[in-house]
Amino acid sequence: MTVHRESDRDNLLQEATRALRQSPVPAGPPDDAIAEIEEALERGADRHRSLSLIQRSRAMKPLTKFAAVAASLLVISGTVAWILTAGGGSSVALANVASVLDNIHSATFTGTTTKEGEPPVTAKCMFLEPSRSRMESSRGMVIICGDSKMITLVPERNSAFVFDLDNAPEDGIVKNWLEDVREKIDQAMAGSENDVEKLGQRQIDGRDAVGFRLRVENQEMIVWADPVTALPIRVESSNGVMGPKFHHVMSDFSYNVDLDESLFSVEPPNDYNVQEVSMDASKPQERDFVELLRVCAAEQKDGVFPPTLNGSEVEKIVSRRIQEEISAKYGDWRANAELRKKVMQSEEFKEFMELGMKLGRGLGFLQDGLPPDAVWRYAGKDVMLDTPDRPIFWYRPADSDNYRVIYADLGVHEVAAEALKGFPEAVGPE
Amino acid sequence: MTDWKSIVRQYGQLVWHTAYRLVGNDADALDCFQEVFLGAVKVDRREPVGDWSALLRHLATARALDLLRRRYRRRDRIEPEVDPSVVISQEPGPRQEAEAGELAGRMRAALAELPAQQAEVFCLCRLDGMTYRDAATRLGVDTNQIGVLLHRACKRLRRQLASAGVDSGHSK
Repeated sequence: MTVHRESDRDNLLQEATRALRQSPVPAGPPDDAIAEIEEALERGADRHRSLSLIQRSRAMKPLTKFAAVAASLLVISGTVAWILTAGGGSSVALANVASVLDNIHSATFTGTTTKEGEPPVTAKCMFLEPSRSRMESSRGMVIICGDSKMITLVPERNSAFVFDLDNAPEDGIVKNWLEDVREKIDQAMAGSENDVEKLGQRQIDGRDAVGFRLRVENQEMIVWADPVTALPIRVESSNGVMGPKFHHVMSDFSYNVDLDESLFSVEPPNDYNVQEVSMDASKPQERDFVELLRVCAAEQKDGVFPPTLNGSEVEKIVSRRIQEEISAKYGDWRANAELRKKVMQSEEFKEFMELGMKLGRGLGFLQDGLPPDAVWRYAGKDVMLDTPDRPIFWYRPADSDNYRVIYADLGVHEVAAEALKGFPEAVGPE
Repeated sequence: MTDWKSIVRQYGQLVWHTAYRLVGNDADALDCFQEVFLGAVKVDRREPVGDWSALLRHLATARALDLLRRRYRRRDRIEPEVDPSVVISQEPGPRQEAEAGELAGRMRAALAELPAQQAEVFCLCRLDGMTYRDAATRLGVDTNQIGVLLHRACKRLRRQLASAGVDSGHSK
């Protein structure tokens, strides 16, 4: 194994910085580019359009030019195939939708989430490349995410929670929503022909739209796009792990809009009560899930594992803990501003926040920690913590023929697929 | 009214140089060149511009970093593709130049993976030699924060460059 000492790394950074600073730059910009931008600026920047494909191609080095031509051919052949096979009416191919999303730098839209059996919650959502986002919920909460910091504001109560995120992903803590749609389209197009279903042309939100149903990782997403611009008009998706299903709708899109930087500030307003919390934002691991199981069983009556593992179960645990430990000590702290401030600065509250985050990471393992095609089962209902030799959860990691099995004593072992035959009845993600 | 023609003539080369050095090819540098001046129009409409050189350098850096991020993100998503700027740098020539070109390519890839603000601060302070105070004014943050961002950027870049070196067999 190669070990890099700090001084070696320092030298490497210095050399690389020097190499970049001194990298050759050809004389430029070209005269025609100067003339074009001058003309555009004179006639009004808003009416200016980007360089045409031909202009871009002319300016490119050979390798880039080849890539552009190849990409164009792919788009053209995809479009031709679409025209030949479609029933008519739709003028946009899914590849076009994917392609236009690449040029979106900012957007606003309305996000509506409906939890099974509950009224929908809407939020005004904004994002700015590469990874800044802001959500203003109809419940009066504002959530803003930066690269390695997240802030939740509750204006009604002048409260703010600032999350300093350790080990945040390089591309930011929240995936750009449209990038997510783009990825799903890529995945569906790369899959079997059943992964993309054309829904034809319909009126959606009062506009003509072309629809596609995508099936990716056992989830469905429906994308309705403008038949002329190929920009999404409405995107619908559903998820839910072992519990209530959530239905998400993105609609009322505006693309490449000017969004003031101040909207994405992760600094709390001066007059707010602020609670700062450190949070591990790395990808949830199996050990986080094991910890979730341990806490769930420990918090359940009689020390048994819960019937299912989902957000509702975790909410119950956290609410009970607040009721028992914080409300018991401080009374009706939510209704009193002074008391609320005191609670938010208390050790108990900090512990409660940490518990919530810990459990959230455990749940996150089911959502994001497992490989997309992982098969998993939960069989912990009513099983007592520490029951010997009792499997309660198992899954098959990516590229493995064997399964990882978590037992009621929270030991984890790897077993062959044949060994699952004798395992108890279990529930899965469906 | 802003005399855009003279601004383009006066600062066009600065924008081109700043952008090209980061993106490493004509096509992307041209895109940046356009976007920077279109972005400058928006700034000019919003507020009076005191220092065109600093504003345009800042915009060129930000746009070039956006392009780098998109390039490397797309590369990850579609297929392993060779960074065109690296290929260009490996054209026949003195070995030293080829090595420097490769190192510059690795630096671009590492910058593309940094959080946006860290990457921008690094470019402004370390590549362009902007003072902390000027960078702070430009980015609308306080001077201490520039120091923190730069520190974090260097820390990540060191790690990324080292691991890229191991991956490609170029570690020291």
